[in-house]
Amino acid sequence: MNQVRAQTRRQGDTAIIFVEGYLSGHSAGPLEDAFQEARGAEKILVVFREGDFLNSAGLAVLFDLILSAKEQGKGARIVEPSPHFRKVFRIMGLTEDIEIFETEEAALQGW
Amino acid sequence: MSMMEFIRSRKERWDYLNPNHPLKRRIGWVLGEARLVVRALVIAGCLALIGYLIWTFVGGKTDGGRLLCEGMQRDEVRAVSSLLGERGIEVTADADSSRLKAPHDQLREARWQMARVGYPRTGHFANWYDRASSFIPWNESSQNEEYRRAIERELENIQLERAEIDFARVEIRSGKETETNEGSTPDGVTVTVVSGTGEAIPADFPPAIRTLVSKSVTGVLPEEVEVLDSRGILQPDALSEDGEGRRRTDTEMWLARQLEKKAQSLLDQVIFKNQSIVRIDAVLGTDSSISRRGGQEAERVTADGAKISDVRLSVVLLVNRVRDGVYRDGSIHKEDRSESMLDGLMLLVRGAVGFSSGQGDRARLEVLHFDTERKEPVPLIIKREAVDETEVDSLLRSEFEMGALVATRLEKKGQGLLDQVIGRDRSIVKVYVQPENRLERDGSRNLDSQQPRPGRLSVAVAIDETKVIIDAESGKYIEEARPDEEIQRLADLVQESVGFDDERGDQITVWPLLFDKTAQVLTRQISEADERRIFWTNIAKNIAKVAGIILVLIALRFIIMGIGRGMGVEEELEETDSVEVNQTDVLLDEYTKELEAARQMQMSLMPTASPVIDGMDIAGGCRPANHVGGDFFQHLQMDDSRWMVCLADVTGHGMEAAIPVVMFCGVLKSLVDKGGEIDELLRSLNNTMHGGLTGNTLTGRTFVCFSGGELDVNKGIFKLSNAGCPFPFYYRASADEVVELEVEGYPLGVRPDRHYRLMEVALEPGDRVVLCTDGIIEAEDRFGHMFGFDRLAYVIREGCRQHLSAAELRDYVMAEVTDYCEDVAQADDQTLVVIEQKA
Repeated sequence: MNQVRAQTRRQGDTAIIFVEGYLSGHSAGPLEDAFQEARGAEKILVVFREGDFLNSAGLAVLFDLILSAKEQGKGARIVEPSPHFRKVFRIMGLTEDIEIFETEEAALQGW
Repeated sequence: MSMMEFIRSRKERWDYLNPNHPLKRRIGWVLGEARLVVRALVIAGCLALIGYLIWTFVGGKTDGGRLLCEGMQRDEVRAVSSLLGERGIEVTADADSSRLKAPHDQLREARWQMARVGYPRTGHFANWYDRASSFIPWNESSQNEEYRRAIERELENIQLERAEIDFARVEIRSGKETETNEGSTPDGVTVTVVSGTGEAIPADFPPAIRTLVSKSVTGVLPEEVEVLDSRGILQPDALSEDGEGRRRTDTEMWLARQLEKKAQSLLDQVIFKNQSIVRIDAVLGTDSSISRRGGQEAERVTADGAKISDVRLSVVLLVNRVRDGVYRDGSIHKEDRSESMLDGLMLLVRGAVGFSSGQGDRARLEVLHFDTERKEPVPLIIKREAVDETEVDSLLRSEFEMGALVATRLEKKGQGLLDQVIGRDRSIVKVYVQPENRLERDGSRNLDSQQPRPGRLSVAVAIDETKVIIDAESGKYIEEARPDEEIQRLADLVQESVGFDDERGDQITVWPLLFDKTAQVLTRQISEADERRIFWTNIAKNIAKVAGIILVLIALRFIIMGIGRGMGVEEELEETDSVEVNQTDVLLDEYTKELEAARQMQMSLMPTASPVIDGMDIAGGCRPANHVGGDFFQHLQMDDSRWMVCLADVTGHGMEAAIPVVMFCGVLKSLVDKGGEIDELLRSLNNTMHGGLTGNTLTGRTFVCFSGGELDVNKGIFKLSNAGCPFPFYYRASADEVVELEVEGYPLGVRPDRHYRLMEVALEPGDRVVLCTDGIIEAEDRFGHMFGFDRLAYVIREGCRQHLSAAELRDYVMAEVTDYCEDVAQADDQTLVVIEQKA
């Protein structure tokens, strides 16, 4: 499972990027394309599925993409159902700047 | 679009119209160039046309109402005026007293009230249907359609639904030629009316409808209008002059149904099903006034004592005009039934039901175009009401059934005889037996008459007018006309077989018909088609099998040839391949050696032995996933009491990560040598990594996760920080527990100028701090389950409880991870550093 699929759905001013697969440095192309597709959105929500995997290089890509969006003034949130990766995000300090949610509904609520 | 906008658009269109447009040119000529007389004539003509249109639309509504009727004699005008006046309808007469006008809102009621009493008799209703100005009678069918629509319109206008009457439909019977040959008028009109309540139609309705139709539509005479009810029963005054208009009894309906079945079965045999329908109305005479044939027969009495003098029949036969004809080559085409065939069908039906025109029975034939695509291909869909069998007169029923029994026996005798002579399906014999009178005049039953004896017979015989014989010359079967003499002889045979008796009043109808052989032809065609289909299917299957075998053989041949050629080529290429293989092996060897050298180089960046520090035990280990990896650990002495103990994980692994590791190691050593506080060191390290790593790798995004810090060996204080690595695990010996030191931070190089938080841990004897990279946490077993934080914490605690040294604990944990993963290939570098405060 060394591939990633990323699909973007627009919901108002929010671009929701659904990520599926093993996100690594080499497989991150679809995720970059999805962020490119979502560049017109004011808010970006990256949704991972339970069972998805990110290695350190994949995390680096995600870091760069989502922090860049944040620095462009966009709102950014992440849905990560896996407790492990929620903890990884916290370890990496991502939660200081990006809110992490367990479900899509929770992420979109009040945003 | 408003009116003004419309006018403006029209004007613009006119302005833009080409000046040479014929219309514009002619109008211009009239207005500008034509002589005054011509101009005046054109304008007058236009005004006259406008006036005519206005008069046409509103003329009939002026002067005291709309025109009701016209062409009446003065006496009739007065009578109608008086009649309608009594009913609250004020009408006015014209000056010539031949026309009547009625208020607009009472026009319909006036027409209906007039029709109910038979007016107008000398004139006709206004706005009546004028065929000469309304349509051109191109052909009979379009003309009939015009008539039908006109009549339906008239009846709808009257709105008889007020009287709970729903009109089912209007049928126009075939037309008759007029003297001027301009078209034809209907031969008759059948109006089927359905009572919305299911009750019988009021007795005065049929004549009213007849008047309404005939006096509002030209070319239709009152006597040509027949009114049927929902059961298909002709309404009384259409049946006889003295019809009582009553609802038929269950006995009469039952009797009619029996006769219908008999006649229908005959027709179905002759011209097949769905090609005809028979409707019979049976009226049992109950008084002497209608027992016109009772003079020859004894009166019968029903079980309840009512006298039955006779049964009067009214037969309506509907036949599809079109039949399937068969050409000599067996193909089928559509053709109209011949007049002789239609007459023959009618005669056969009459014979089958014991019809007697001399005694008041009526019969009518309607030839219509059936829609054979419908399930019920009857143009006039009339369903019989259910008969309550218990209400059927038992005496009459028994007599009729007795007669039917005798008739069946006689039919079998006659039919059997003809079948033997001319073959099956070449004739049809139907016999009707008038129920024998076994009742005395006083109403008592003649009990001596136990054996059924035939009453008056009515025999219908249909004989195929052609026959199949063997041609003497060719020896083939050919079809030829059946001679009249033969038909007569066959009829004589039937008469003999059924005991025909002229004196008894028996009657026989013999009619030669061209039997419809469509079904036989169709059956034969279907059978032949099936045979052809099976034949060709088998042929196709066999061809496919043979083709498949041939293809397999061809494929096998090519395979064998290929293998043969391949063997030859292999032999030829064997030497060349061996050379290439040797070259590849050499390259692989060289590459492996280079990787091993890189590995040795990378490993040389990491300590190979634990430092010797009083009171402290430090041990680390790195297990790259490939020859080289992105993990790194180090312990560097900062000064006499302080040591830098850390590990790092460069994103990715393999060569992609190995080179940044080298760079990171150099920077780290450089900064440590430079001296300074740990937090400043981390800030510098981060900034250096951010500027130095970006763009130097495959992904362009290389970060360094870092965990570690400054260990003051004298004070036993570990100032640690964490930049993206798993939280350090801390075994507190006094509590015998493992906790995670939750210090989080961006990996080094992610963003510049980040401040990395420091946590101070005062180590007590027996305490241990374990640093690790995510390769350990995320090591997976064969089911894809990660080793995880909790399991690692558990393993560390277990190792600590066993009082393992730092190196032993490192090996213990690594071994547990290895055991956990079993034979699953290592996916990421795994690095572990253990710091122990010795007891």
